[in-house]
Amino acid sequence: MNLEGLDILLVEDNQDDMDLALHALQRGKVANRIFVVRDGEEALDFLFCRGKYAERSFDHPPKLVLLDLKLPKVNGMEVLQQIKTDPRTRTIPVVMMTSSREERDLVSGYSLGVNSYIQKPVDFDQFRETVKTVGLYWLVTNQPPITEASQHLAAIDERNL
Amino acid sequence: MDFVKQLFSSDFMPHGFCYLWNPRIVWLNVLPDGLIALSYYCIPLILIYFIRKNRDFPFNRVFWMFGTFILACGTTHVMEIWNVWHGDYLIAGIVKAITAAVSVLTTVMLIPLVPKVISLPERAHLQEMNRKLEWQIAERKRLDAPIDASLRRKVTGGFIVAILLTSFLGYSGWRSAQRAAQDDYRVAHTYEVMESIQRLSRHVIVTETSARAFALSGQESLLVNYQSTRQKVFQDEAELRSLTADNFSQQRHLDVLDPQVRAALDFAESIMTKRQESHAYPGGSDALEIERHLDVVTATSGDMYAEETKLLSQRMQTARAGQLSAKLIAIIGSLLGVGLWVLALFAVNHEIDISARARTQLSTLNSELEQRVQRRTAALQSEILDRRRAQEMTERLAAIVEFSDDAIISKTLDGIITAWNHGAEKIFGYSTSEAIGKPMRMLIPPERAHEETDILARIARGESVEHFETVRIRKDGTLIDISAAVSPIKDGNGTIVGASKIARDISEHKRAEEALKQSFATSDRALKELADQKFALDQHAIVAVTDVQGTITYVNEKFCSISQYSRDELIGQNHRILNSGHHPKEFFQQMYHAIAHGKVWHGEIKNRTKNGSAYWVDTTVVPSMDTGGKPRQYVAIRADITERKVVEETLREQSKILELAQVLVRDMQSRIVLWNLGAEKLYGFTKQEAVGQISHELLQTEFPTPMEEIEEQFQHAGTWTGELIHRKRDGGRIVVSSLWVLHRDGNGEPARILEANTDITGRKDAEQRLSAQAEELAGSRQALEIKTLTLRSVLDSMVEGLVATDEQGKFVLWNPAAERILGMRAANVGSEEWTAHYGLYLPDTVTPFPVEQIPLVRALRGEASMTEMFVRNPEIIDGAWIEVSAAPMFDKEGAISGGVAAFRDITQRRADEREILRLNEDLELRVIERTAQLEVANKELEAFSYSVSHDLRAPLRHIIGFSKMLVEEFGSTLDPGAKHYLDRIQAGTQNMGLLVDELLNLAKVGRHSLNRRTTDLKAIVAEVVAILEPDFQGRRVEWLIADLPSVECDPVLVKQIFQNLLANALKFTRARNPAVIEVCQAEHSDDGQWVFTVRDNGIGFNMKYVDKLFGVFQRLHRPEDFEGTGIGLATVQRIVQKHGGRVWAKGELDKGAVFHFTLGVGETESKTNGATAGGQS
Repeated sequence: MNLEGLDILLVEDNQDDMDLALHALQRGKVANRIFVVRDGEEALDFLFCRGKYAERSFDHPPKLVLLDLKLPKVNGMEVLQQIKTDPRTRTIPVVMMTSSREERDLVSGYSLGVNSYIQKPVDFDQFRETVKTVGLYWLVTNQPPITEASQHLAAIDERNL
Repeated sequence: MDFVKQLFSSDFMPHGFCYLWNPRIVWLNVLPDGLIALSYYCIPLILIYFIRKNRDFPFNRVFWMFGTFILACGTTHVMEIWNVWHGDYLIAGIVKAITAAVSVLTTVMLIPLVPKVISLPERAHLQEMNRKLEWQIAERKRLDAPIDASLRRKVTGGFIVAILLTSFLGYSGWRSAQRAAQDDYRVAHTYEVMESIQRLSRHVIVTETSARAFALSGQESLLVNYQSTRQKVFQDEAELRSLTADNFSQQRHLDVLDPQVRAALDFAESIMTKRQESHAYPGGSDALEIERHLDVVTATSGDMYAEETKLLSQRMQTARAGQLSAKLIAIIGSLLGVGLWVLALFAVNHEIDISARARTQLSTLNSELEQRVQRRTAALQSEILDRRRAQEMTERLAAIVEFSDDAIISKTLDGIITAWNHGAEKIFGYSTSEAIGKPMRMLIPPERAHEETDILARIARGESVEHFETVRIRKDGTLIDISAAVSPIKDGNGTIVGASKIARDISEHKRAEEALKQSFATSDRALKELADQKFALDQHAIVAVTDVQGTITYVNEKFCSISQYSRDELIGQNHRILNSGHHPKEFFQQMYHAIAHGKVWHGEIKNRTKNGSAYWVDTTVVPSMDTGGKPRQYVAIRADITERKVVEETLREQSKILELAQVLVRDMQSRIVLWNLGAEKLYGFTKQEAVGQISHELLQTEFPTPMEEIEEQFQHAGTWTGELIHRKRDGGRIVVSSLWVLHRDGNGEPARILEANTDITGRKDAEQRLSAQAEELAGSRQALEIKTLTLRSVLDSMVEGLVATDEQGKFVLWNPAAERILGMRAANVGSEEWTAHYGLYLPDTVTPFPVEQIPLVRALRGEASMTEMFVRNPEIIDGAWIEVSAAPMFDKEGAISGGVAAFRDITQRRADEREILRLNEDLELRVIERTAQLEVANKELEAFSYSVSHDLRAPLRHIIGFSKMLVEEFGSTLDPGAKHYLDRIQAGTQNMGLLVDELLNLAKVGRHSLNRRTTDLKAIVAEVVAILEPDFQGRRVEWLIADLPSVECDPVLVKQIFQNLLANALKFTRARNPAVIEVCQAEHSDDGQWVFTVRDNGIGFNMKYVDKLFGVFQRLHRPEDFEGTGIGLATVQRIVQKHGGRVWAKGELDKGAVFHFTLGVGETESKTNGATAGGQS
């Protein structure tokens, strides 16, 4: 699978949650190209084009990162922090998903610059609805941030017009 | 400056040279240029004049430009002239440039005006304007005619001067030009001469040289050369001679030169001949000779050259000087010219101003004239008005004359009647027509005929004849007495033209006079009689006459003697001076009132003499009335009654005094004969009621001893005193001290009994009271003794010690208990010794108690106080604790009369107190421990429930999710049974989800730290109702939400309380229609906190299970009947407890439930429903 220009990067450790989320995304016809990583470390490797994903380039980041809070190795907050402090990855939209609405988490999430914060509802229908809404918003409604690549693209487009 | 110098540099050749100074051409250029320039300067001036006159001309600006343009052109022509003699082309060029610019500008300005010009008013309009203008001009000419002459003269004069000056300038210019030409010519001439000299010299040298050369070489060419050159020399000589013909000195030089040249030439020829003939070469001496000749020639020509050079420089100087002067003239001339033009301008303007001023003057004069005319008209009008008024006056006078009762007759100086009024008709009997034209004489009886003549004579002189009485004849021949006056009539100039007579019929009048004479005689007689009577009166009585104001006009002798004033002192004074002040104002007012109305008044008056003593007079005042019935004067006739009055007054005084005593007089039968005022007052019976009554019957007298005894005593002694009891009219009982006196009549027989009674009831009562009081006193003394004994026993038996001191601090009371507690008796020591004597210490048991703090001492200062002390003295070795309270004692006036102190032994109490304290501390510690433990337990529990719920959510999510997916994706292939099981699984998990959420919530509440803010409860409730709306849509729910206050509480948590309570209410009233849910704050709890209430009319609950209500997961209903987790109320309780309040409920099955809760806020909170801090979670 081509790892460049993904629709969604899903960071989720729990198999069940992952399956549910994928099901919801696919059912909702939100996105086609979804890639899953199982822990925080892998997520960082992916986004920073190192380790297993050293061949990736920064120019084609995923359009959205769905980030779970509780992750093994490196936890969600840390991942968020790293994403949002590095200029190469700062512009990538990150939506955090969590079971808790603990204020502490909310505060630090937003202060680090997370783009959105949603709670995973217990009710499955609701969950589906939420995922669909979130996906639609970030992938369709929202204008993606400009990267060098897209700039090139835009330029090429123009020339061809 | 360099630039300026540059401007005037004359390096260039002036134009004159182009003309080769041909005078004709020069002047053909100069003159026309001059004229052109002149006219070019004049035209703008005309234009300026034109513009100034035509103020509303639309193209003013263009004309200005045009004028400037023309001026500039003129200046270029001037420069042309200048350039003929001076090559100042730079200036010329600049001027031309300026002209060019101006002309271009003018053209540019002109072009846009073309359409405007085209649109100028039509011919007709222009003709109209023209006509107006012509009229204006004619006017102006008329007005300016005299002015124009002078103006014209001035202008002409000015222009003549200008012309003269310009011509002079031209002439000087021409002259200087000429001179310059001459100078130049001379200079050129000098150059020629110099050249000529040089030529000559050169030729001479050439000849000599050629000669020498020929002499040396013998070449023929040289000879030819010599010959030709020699000819030239001669030519040169001739030329030079002619050139220097005017220079005498040069001629002389020439005279010298010629022979020298001749000599040189001769020698040259000689050597040449020598050569030709003898072929002898010239030797050195020949060469030298040639040289010498050459030198001589050279020298002489050199001289000539030098002279010419000098001449040249001279001439050049002259030329330059000439140039300079010319330039100066030009500049000065131009300046003058400009100045003149400016002057001309000013002059013209000035003239224009004058004419303008003259015009304005005229117009003002005009307006003045107008005004004067107006004024005259007004004056005329008023004159007319006056005349009319005069006419009216005359008519009125005529009427007056006509209708006067008096005869008003006017006659001429001859005595012919000219006017005859109505009055004359009446008096004389003649009508107006009969009378007018007749002579006055017809009215005069023959014997008085002379009167008329006299009168007329006097009138003619201008005298008026005053009223005189005479007799005239009427028409019917009767004689009438008339009173007449005649005055002259004057015309406008003052000439006497007639007389006017006014006559009055006085016949009646005369008759009246006669009658009057008669009556006078009669009254004279009567007066005489009166005078006699008056005299008689005066002898007897005191007589005074006053006028109506009371001013004395006449007093007789007796008056003066009794009042002791002299006649002079009285006459003219007001009667008031005799006023003694005895009578009130009303007395005299009444008198005046009577006499003013013409009534005679009698009375007795007390008057005052001059020295102040008083006298009484019996007075009769008689007013004399005048014919109108009004009093004219008052005649007062008096008789002296002073003595009598004195006696009267004394008697009156006495009887008054008597009246004051309570006296009655009775006859021998005890019948009341006299009852005075005092008796009236005392008994209440009036005189009328008392007189004639039997005294002891009337007064219901009670005698101390039988009446008969008293009577006997009285008869014997003639007086009796004693105390009697009488009854007053109103029934009141009085005790009187009575004095009886027997009064014998003239014969000595007992006639009357005088009884004087004094009311001594009061005194009697007082006596009685005193004796009663004495009894009382005896009784109370006894009682007091008993009380004292009681008090004593109390004091003795008291447990507390009681001591008292007087204000000095000396003990007056010391009960046995005091002795027991303190171990001592009262000591005769001053208060400052008390601490030491009794061993008083502060509660620390070692510090002696400060004396001034001792309560009893403070009490003596007036302060009540209470304190504890420790007592240790020889009698109480171990010491004891006492509690002392003292207060001051005050006497009747409020001053401190002493102090009292009470104290008790509290040793035991203190010991007990300490024990309690110790136990308390123990308890406190234990409580803190326990609380800490509880806190820890709580926290653990909370943490546990939090993490459990939190972590439980994830697997829950999975179960729900996958089961849903299962149903969705494979539901169609499943058995209904399988589907049913799946539904049950889902329901179960959903339930669990709810439980977990609620538990989480509960835990969160526990962890949430209380954040009290002013919260508007009403708003919170409203929010909650809004949130719950979906749950009661379609149902009839009556919300009775009262006015809830704003309180200090955590808005987030309180919202939850209401959410839970109201959700419950909604749930359990589902069966009701309508459901009635009430929220209010009505009651107060015991400790003053506000109690909030939520009431519903739902299914209620059994009070038996009220304790279970708030338990976690405790439910009172089956899940099938009512869903729910059983945590709602537990959460409410948690929150309420956090706030420091409590919650409790009451319910009845099927009758509804009511929940009360407090939030630890009470009366002191403000009840304003103002700004809230928000109730949003």
